[in-house]
Amino acid sequence: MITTLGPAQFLLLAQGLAWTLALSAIGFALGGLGGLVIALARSSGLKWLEGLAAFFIEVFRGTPLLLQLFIVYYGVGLLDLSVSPWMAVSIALMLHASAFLGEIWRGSIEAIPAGQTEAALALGIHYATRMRYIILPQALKISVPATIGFLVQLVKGTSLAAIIGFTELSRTGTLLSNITYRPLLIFGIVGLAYFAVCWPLSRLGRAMERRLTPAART
Amino acid sequence: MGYTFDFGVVFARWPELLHGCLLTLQLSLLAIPITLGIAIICVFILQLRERISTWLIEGFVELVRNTPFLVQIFFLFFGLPSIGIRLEPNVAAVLALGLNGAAYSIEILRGGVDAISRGQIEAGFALGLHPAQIFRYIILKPALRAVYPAMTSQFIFLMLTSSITSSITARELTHVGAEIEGETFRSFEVYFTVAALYLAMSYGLSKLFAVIYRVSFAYPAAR
Amino acid sequence: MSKLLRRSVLTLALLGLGVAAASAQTVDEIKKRGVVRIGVLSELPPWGFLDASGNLAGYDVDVGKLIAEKLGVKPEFVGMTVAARIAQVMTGKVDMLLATMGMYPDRAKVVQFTEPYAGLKIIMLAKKSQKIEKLEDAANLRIGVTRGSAQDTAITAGLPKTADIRRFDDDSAAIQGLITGQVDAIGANTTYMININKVMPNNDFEPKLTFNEQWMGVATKPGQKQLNEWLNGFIDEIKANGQLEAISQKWIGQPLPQFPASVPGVPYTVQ
Repeated sequence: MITTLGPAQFLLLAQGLAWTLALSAIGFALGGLGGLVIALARSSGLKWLEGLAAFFIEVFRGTPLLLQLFIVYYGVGLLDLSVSPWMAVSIALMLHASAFLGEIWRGSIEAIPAGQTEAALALGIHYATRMRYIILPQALKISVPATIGFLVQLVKGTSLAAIIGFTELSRTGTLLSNITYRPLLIFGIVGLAYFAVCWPLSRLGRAMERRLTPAART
Repeated sequence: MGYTFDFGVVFARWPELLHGCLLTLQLSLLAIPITLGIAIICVFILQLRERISTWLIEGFVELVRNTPFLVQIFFLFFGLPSIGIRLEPNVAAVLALGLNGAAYSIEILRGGVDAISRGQIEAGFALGLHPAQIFRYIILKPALRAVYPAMTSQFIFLMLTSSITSSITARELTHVGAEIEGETFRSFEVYFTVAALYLAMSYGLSKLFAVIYRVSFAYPAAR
Repeated sequence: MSKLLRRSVLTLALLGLGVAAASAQTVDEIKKRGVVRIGVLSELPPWGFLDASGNLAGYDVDVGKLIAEKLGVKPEFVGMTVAARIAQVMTGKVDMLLATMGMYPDRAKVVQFTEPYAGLKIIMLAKKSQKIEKLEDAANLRIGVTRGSAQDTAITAGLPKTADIRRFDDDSAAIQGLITGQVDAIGANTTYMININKVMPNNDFEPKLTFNEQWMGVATKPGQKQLNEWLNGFIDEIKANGQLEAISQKWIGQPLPQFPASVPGVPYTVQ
């Protein structure tokens, strides 16, 4: 049994960190796809579709991520699909990210002047082409800082997978602190590990925000 | 062997669930003033543009914003006793929520204050107002109005975040739900119901904040 | 909202019933799949925990390995918490639980137990200086338990409603609560003490009360007759051939206890 904090324990923490990064990456990638669908639905001009997307966004922004994890985790099991915990957590993070990214990107799409859409319509450019070549490239650029900001939230959010027993960075911390009995030290290290991942991202996001709005401060 | 849903056993516990909602609101409503208070003080200090205090505040903001809340409460609850500070679960929860919220609120409020034009402040000085008066009437109030939507959605987020304090045994809605789960083994039904209650509280709070906005920022905005 | 809610729940329920009928777990199906999914605790040495190399290990894990060997399939261990374990088997995430789960009547209403393969005692643990001779002495203390554990049940039943019982998500948090002084006493089992002694040889804790002797069986979803019979046969076999004795000596350092022929309110076989 482990009693001290040695290389083996740091290896465990590194493994935990790897799981945290993997969860974040998969949540962000899948959530990005879902978010795009939600953003397009939310700004589609079809009333029922916009309403549906708005409802989806409201539900996921109006409930705690922890509860979303619980529900998906126990819910997919009830459908009797054989789903590993890792899959269940990924699905929950994907839905969560879809709602938040969908809302961020909807804002960016709507920030593109309506004149551009009107011009495209006048030229007879249909929806797919208009989105693909005119609206989305510009919207994407505006949305980068907020998107990175959400990525930071997502990385931190993966820590909640620990509560349902998924052994990522936070839970590795709990387990280690329980066998070394040095909680202050362990949680300090775990906190620093998150910081090392999130802080550069936060800085990147802020730098891009400043680049997009150079003259905002007077 | 199919799974049959049974929400009945969960709904039968409605008094406890309702109590859980009240406790969640209690934790949040205690944490919000802390959040706002710290944010206002820190933004005021930031306006003084003094190096060490700016560095300290920015360090605090970065540290809190870039680490998970779960780790923060574990640190407060399980970590601090080793240096002799032992906090009750609910106290630790309110403190953690307040500090966490403050880090976000400082950034939001600072954005609002920075957007206020220099000329307006200079006008205040020209009128012979005291710096504290200038901060309060010319900087703070317009800034708060400008950032009100961002600030209040931050507060709602804080209320949702309070669910995580269940893991240090703070008594709030998620913890009540978890207790019911432990007795009924109806995980999905319990958490589905609890999530619906959170949704209702988010909705209720956003309505409440809208009313507060109309009442406290009622004077006409710049036309 | 409520209409929408009701409809979506109904849809979910129908979906669940439809798919579920097709996948009742049998021994043959596990063999065909080539993998047996076993839920074990990931935080309760020496029963189920992460060893120095980060793999699940312990008494339960070793028994699980024997099950897989006997079935001729690969074991896939899923680490879980005490609070989540019943949901894990009920929702089909694992085929069976070897999760240090005590055989109690309330649980037997939800899952199907086999005959016991292990035993321990449910106790209360506190500082030596703390005077607890009977449960009532603890009525005014802050008591930590793992939510949904046998300790939780025993202590909750024995103390008045006003008692300050704090329910943690898992054993590690409860133990941490005791060590950091966030609680005065915790509901525990006999193996907590083995662990605490290992990492803190000069600790100040001692067992105070013994609530009951607990027997642990393998838990499956209810109604799985074939799997249950197979498991009972398997447990008889490893009890007889000394394999279980070896596991007990390896992890607990004690011989196997005398297993009871029946546990009140907990049938060993599908009724």
